[in-house]
Amino acid sequence: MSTKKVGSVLVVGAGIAGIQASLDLAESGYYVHLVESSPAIGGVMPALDKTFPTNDCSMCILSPKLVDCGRHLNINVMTNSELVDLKGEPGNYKATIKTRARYVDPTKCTGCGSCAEECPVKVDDEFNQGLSKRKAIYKQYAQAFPNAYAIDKEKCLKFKNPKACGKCLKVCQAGAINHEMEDEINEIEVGAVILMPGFDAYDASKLEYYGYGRVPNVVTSLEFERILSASGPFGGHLIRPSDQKEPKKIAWIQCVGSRNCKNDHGYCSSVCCMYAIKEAVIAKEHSEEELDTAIFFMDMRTYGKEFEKYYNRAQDEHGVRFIRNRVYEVREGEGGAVKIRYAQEDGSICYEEFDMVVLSVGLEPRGEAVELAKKLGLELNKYNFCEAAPLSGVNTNKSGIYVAGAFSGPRDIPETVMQASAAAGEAQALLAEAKGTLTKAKEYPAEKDVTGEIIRTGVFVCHCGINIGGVVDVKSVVEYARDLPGVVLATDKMYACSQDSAAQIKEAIKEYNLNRVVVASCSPRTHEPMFQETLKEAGLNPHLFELTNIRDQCSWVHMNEPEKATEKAKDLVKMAVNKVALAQPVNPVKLEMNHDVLVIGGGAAGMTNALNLAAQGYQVYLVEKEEELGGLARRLHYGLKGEEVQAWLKELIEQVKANEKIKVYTGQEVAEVHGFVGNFTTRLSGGEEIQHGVTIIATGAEEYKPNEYLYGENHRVKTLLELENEIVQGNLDKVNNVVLIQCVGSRDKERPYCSRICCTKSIKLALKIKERRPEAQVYILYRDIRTYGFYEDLYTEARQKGVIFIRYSTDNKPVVENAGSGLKVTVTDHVLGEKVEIYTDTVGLASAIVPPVENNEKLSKFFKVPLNEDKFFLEAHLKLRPVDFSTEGVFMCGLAHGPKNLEENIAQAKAAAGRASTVLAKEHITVEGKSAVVDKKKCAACGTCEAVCPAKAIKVDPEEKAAVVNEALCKGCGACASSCRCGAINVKGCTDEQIMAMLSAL
Amino acid sequence: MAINAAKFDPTFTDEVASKLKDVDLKKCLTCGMCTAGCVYSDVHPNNDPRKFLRKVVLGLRDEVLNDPFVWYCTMCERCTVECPMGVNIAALTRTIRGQFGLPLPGFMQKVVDETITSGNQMNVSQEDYEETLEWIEEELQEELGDPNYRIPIDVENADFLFGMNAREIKYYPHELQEILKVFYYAGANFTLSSRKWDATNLALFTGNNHDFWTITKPMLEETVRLKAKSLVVTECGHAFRSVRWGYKTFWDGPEFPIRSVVEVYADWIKEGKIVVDKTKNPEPATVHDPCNLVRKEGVYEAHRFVMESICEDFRDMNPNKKYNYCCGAGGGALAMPEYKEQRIKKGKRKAEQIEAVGAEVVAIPCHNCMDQFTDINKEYFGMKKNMTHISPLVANALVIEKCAGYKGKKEDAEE
Repeated sequence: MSTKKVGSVLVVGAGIAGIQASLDLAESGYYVHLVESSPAIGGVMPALDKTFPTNDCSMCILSPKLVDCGRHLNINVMTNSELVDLKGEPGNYKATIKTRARYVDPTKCTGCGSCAEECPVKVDDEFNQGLSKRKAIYKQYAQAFPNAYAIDKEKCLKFKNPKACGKCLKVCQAGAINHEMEDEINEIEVGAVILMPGFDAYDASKLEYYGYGRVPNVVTSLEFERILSASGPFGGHLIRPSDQKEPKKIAWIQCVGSRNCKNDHGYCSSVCCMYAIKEAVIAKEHSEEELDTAIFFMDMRTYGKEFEKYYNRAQDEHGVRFIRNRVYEVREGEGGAVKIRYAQEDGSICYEEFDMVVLSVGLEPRGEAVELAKKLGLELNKYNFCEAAPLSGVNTNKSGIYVAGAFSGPRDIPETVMQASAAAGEAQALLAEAKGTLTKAKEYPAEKDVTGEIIRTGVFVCHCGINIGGVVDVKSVVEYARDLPGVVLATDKMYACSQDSAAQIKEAIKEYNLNRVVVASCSPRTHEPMFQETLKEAGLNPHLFELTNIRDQCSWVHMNEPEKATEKAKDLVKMAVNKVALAQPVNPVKLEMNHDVLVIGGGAAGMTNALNLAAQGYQVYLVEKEEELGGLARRLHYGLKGEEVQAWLKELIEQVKANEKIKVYTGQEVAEVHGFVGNFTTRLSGGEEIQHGVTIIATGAEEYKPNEYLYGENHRVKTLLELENEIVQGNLDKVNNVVLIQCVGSRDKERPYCSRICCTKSIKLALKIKERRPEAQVYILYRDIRTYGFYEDLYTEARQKGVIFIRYSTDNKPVVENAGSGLKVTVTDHVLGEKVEIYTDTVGLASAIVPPVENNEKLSKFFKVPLNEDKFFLEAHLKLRPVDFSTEGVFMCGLAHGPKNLEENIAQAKAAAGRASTVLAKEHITVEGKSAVVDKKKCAACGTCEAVCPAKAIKVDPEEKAAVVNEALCKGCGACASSCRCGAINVKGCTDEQIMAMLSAL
Repeated sequence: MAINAAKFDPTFTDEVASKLKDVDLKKCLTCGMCTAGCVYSDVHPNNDPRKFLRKVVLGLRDEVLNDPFVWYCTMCERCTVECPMGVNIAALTRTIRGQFGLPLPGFMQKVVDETITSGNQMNVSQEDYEETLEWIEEELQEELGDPNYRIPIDVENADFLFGMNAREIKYYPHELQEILKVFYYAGANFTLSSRKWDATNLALFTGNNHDFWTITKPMLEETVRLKAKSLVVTECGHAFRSVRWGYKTFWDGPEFPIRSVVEVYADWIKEGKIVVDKTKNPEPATVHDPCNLVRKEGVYEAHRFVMESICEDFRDMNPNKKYNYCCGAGGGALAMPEYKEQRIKKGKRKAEQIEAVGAEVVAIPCHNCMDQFTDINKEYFGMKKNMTHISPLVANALVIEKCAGYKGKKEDAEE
């Protein structure tokens, strides 16, 4: 192309997807313009209570990302803005952005809220789903970025009559409010565009029979999230909005606006089953008295990683009831009750009254997003979602424009995050030549030398809204802290993690000349880096800091004993004050960075990943244990959307082989690994040693070889992959009957996970058989059909084409017997309740996807990355870090992570590339430096430390006769220090002295 | 006994589907929404729509054709009115009844055959018809105090042709008299037909489309012949549904609106053509939503509006409108005496609804439902409720002096 590429990317939509993609891009050398139509970034996540399957608080896990994104030097956040025009070509676009006037200058606004207090106009609060009121001048939610108010022009009195009101103007000390502000149009140059405008919830009032808006105490799932949320309209107190009574019995109705061809929502919304289970479980936890919960569903779709276990626990441990019936209607009963008449599976009828009914509303594309997509010439599917091009994960029909998150199809947070990173990966590959041309580097003030200074500690105690403040008496903790030794300032913060709090802490450091800082709030795991950044910005070494967790350890676990919780908070603060007094500056260690990549596994995921990284300009070493590239995809023929998999795979392999930046090793495995991020040395089984900075694990999975249903005994019983091959060979072209049995080796005691793809795959094969031989009878025996998202259309098509679906239960599984030259399958029809005998030529078993256990365990040890109970690799965080490991510089993708289909593997492969480049883009590796330190005089060189170190970071030097620490490898875990009999080892930032000081505080 | 899957006959399923045209029953998710929605699925055995549909989907021909559900189902359409897959059990039942050579129970076919020969379902002769009208005319001249009153018959270019239920001629001439009285005071420009005047059609329930169209087509043709601006049908759900459905499905003649008489009453009240005094009907009253009028043909508000206007204490049953309960005698159940036991059991649901609102007067804008309500009255209320059509209540509430068609008192006219 003639034009020069631009090193910036336009990201449209600042939900979790937009934030993730922006961070990935900004961290890997691209300037980002993040455009968001509302006044704050965050999207839907801030409004959710807890997230499945980890039950993490949604806001708590999002908050650090919000702050990172908000204050990133290379992310230009444009709120109240929309993309109105795009001209140019991939690599070089001119984008026109319209920014609606906010009427509050976010650079001046401190977010103090005085304006809103004064504002006389009350408006339904959209963030709380209309369950509470906000003012005409408002902030979307407490932790919003930018931490600035905005005026709702439609509601503000002053816009109706300039002489009226103006109260906000009078109270605003910052002079941030300006009713004269005008809309702006800006043109920016970008190299690529990523669309992630998110979704709208289905409008439940369209289904009159569920009574939403008519029957009191029928609420939507989003309203219920706000009811549960500690920051919600009822402060997390589980009550029904109509009369503030505590419900004792709640029902969830699934598929509200999903799986409904009648109203053109024929697809499955993919997330509702899980969020309903989560809401039921959390509601039980929130309820003071025993709470009865029932979920009315058709097929339970807990297909994601760790979802099935969550479902089982909800059922077995929490006693959530699951009732398999699509509810016909809800009716108003006495005293606000909601009546449901439902059919059990055998056809018998039950009547039940609930105190509250939650409608699990589905996801649909947003109107504005559809308009925008049309303007950009993007193809939409029949439901108006911008479905990604086949086998691309995130590409649209226009190169240079990518799509991710729920706009390309209903999906949950992990997959949204995955796609966001994948879209970032694509943009990085497209714009590689312009990398680093537009980014700026952050400069910190010179670090203040605190050596020899008298301790001057500042203590900041966080209310976390009511998360902490609702239980712990924060003011008395502050009072208490004020008198602790070394403390010169103690104060409270409503949200210590908010933007304005950070500014205030910086200010306080200056004003009080603080040289130590304690924050008493939440988890260091999520929030410590953020506060440390604040210290750096204030010219303090970030290790002169302590974060003590008075939320998890006080207000949450002792929520019913506020006094004791307060006492404990005081103790924790005192311990932190004592500890921080002994803190010394720790300086990071800078190491050389190797920019090559080792990709382990030459299947579809590994190859896709390698190609992306090669396109970004990195040297890739691709290792495949088989003699040929291709992995499991070599056995696939029929793509779920009709793609020719073999043709696609052939081309992929050719591209990999022809790529100069990719060196392929086939027939080899990883034999030995040393080193760490930026400096790995890996020896292959062929003997070659590879130096690399980053590792991608894409080792795939295998098809389970069943030992049930006569598999291996009768040649007519086959696995799905074998069956697929038979169809391709034409061996089933004369078949009369085919029976496919689902969940073979999945969702059982031994493998309690769902293999996710078998339902869709089986249906695809059934349709293929029907296509080639329409008169063949195909039976699918299933437990729950899990054709999530648009795969539901395949399920609908299969029924229309006459495929017969019979549901079986685990206590009455199908029986396969030899019958003459064929087979007999006996199953009980779930509707008629009668046994059906099917004499058939062929039985296909939807056998599980299983991890290569031995191989995974080996790599797990080599790279110090964990496996989950099922022996798939376990990511750093199930929700927000789906392709990362806690071990830096190691990423994963594909079936190694868990069962998923080809399309999803491709997306994940690109995501791993997108994430890997955030590491690869760095010139150096910087290690925190919180490492172990050996006092050589005390060391006896006994070698215990070397034996216990999980990071292989400490070794006894025979010459020095003492242990030596490799600071780059050391994680600072303290295993060596605690096992050292001579007391010769200490960990920086956590010395014995500090621990003793903490203990003496008690 | 296990079912051998070899019995599954997809050609049967396809045959049913093709006869149903629009409805793709094979899309069934077996979700059970219909089972939960059919209020009769638990009042007697073999009344589960999901099970019936399942047999069709599996292609169990014999089991489907011998399923008593075929006759138990009142074709009220409640179960699948919101089916997410667009299945329509009422249509399915009708197709199975009429298009697979099943012998019809009771006297359903007899009525159909008689309607075809005589033009009306009560086998009323032309002579009897004319005599009855003459008699009503005389009665009305007396009652209205208008010796010049004539029932308009075969008057061209009227605002509407009035389609009746033959029972009004044969058994309820007094009621017809009430209707015509309301028409008179409204100053209505209407006509009756001398040739085709019965709008009912039991072939709506037998499922035989040939019979159906043979019966209904003349009613539509008569509207055209008399150049009436519209066709208005009396308080009879299935008569209304028949002409509407026939018009939508088979008719290729000129276009004209088809309305229920309750809609016309509502208009007249709104326009002030008739003036009513609700204190004349003081007792607690409710109104039934006949499935063929309401759920299937979308007349939700008109009869409610009329009832609220003419009754002092109107109470709506719950659920109602689109989700109302069938009376229990839909689908021609009254013509199948062998299933009376099931029909009466079904009536209990309606009785419970009436009980729940505490109504003493139950208005029923449907002749078919009316018979069931009379049985419900017998069975569950010891005949203590007043089961009535709406027209008599309207007639009773008229403030005749203020009505558009009022021509002064008899005495005044004489003087």
